[in-house]
Amino acid sequence: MASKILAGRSISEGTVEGEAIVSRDPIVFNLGIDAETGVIVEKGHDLEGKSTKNKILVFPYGKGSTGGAWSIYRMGVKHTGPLAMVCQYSEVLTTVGAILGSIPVVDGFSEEQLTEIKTGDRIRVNGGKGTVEILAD
Amino acid sequence: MQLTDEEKRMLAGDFGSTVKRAMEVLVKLGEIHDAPYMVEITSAHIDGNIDKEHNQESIAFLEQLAADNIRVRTFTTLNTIGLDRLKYHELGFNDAHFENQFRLNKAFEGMGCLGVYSCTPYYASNLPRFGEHVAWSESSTPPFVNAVLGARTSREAGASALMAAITGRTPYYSYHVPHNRLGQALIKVDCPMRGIADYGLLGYYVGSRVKTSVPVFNGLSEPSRDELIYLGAAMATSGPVAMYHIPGVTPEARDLDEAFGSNEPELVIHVDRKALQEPLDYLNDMPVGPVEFVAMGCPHYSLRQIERLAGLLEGKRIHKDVTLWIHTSEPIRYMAQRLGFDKIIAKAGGLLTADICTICTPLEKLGFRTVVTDSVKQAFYCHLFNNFTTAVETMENVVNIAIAGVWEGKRYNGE
Repeated sequence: MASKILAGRSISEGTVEGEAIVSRDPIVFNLGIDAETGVIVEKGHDLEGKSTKNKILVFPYGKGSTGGAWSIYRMGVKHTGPLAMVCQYSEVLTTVGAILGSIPVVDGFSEEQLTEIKTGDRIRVNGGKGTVEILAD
Repeated sequence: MQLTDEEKRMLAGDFGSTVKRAMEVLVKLGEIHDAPYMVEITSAHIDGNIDKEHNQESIAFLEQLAADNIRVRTFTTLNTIGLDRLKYHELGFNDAHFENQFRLNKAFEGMGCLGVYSCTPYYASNLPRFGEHVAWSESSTPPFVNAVLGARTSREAGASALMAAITGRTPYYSYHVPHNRLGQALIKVDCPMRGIADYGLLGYYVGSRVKTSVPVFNGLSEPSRDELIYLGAAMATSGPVAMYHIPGVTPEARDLDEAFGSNEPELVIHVDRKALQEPLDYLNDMPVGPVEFVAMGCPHYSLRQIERLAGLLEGKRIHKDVTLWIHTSEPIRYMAQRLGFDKIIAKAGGLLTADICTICTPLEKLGFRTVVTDSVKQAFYCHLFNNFTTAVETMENVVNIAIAGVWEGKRYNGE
């Protein structure tokens, strides 16, 4: 399989390559994810109990408590969370938390486009260009 | 983005490196959302100031801002924390529990923020006028500011509200732009709604379905201000909702046509009693048996809600094994004291708290595992990070359960 590039929008700069972890559910960054370990703790969430640490988190959008920007910032400065994030829509808390915490983020993808990325895929995120590359096996 | 001379100077670093960084973040936010320019804000409300949301790195970051003499440029209030500054000993806590919270309060207040420590700061001096641009965080506040007051805020993060407060600016984007405030989803409510628990369930159901759309409600008759607050809080819990319309009730929509403007409804959702059962199935998972903890006031109770609760508790006594907390802000607690409501509540065995909410407080230090509440938002978050089992009921039933001291798994019937 040849690698495939999805073009989105630049949110937070930086280029990083890693393993994708894909969530179909929105994420409550404030308290829905343990910022010290990167593990999703929201009950009933499709990633409940899974760690996002050193992975590239693919998700629809952030929801709930707007204190969440600090969680993203904390994961960024302590390297306890995702290496980068890819989403349909980076709302304010995701954007600000990621910029302050220096986590590359790209958004602007449809729900369908994001289904092309599977958990475990190797992907490369270019936060400055706004692209995601699904790397060949 | 088109920037004024002063904004350009902020970006150039003329006001120091922090203001420069804040302006950089705001410009980036603006660019992402195609904002043509910045607007001056008349107030800010900052959340994300609870100790459990922070670690040593983020506290040090905020302390450094205060130490660098950074001051907010607009009237700025602070959100709910885990510490009742006057009564934390009475609640069973000690100073050591709040070492980090004291540091955070000092850092934020050092920047000139007003410590009202409430999620309903509009009851405590921060009340925007219709049409004003503001930058408010805490998820329940944007739906109130936008939909009920008709002022304009994006769904700010605590961190972006702080950047806006430091610069006095926010990008002209999101719900600041009139077109983005128009309705997109039609919600047809086919059953009567009464009380904040009903409105919370409705909000939870709708918030989990409308995604980023602006909902327009049809079929709600004369909700009270308190019911609107609980509706918005629940929609912002299960989804990212920050604006909605109720034609004939909220100020920007006299009728359905005005609510949708040039938009066609892209989604229609029907809500009946059966639909409200869905969030209850998730939130009412407390095992049948003795009740240990009952908490109300999420968002912080208004004076009217406290009055109604005091009426329900007057002359009664809650079960001796039950802890009952009612959350509000310090100014409202003061007013409740003037009216004698706090005494009625205390005589019944309850406690009127200020500054705190169940979600923010280190409850694990007190050993609770369950909570009975009239707040859908509170129940949801208590599941999330306290790993509690919960029960949601109407205010009246919550009081009866606190008195009986037993949760019988009673089926919710509304008020």
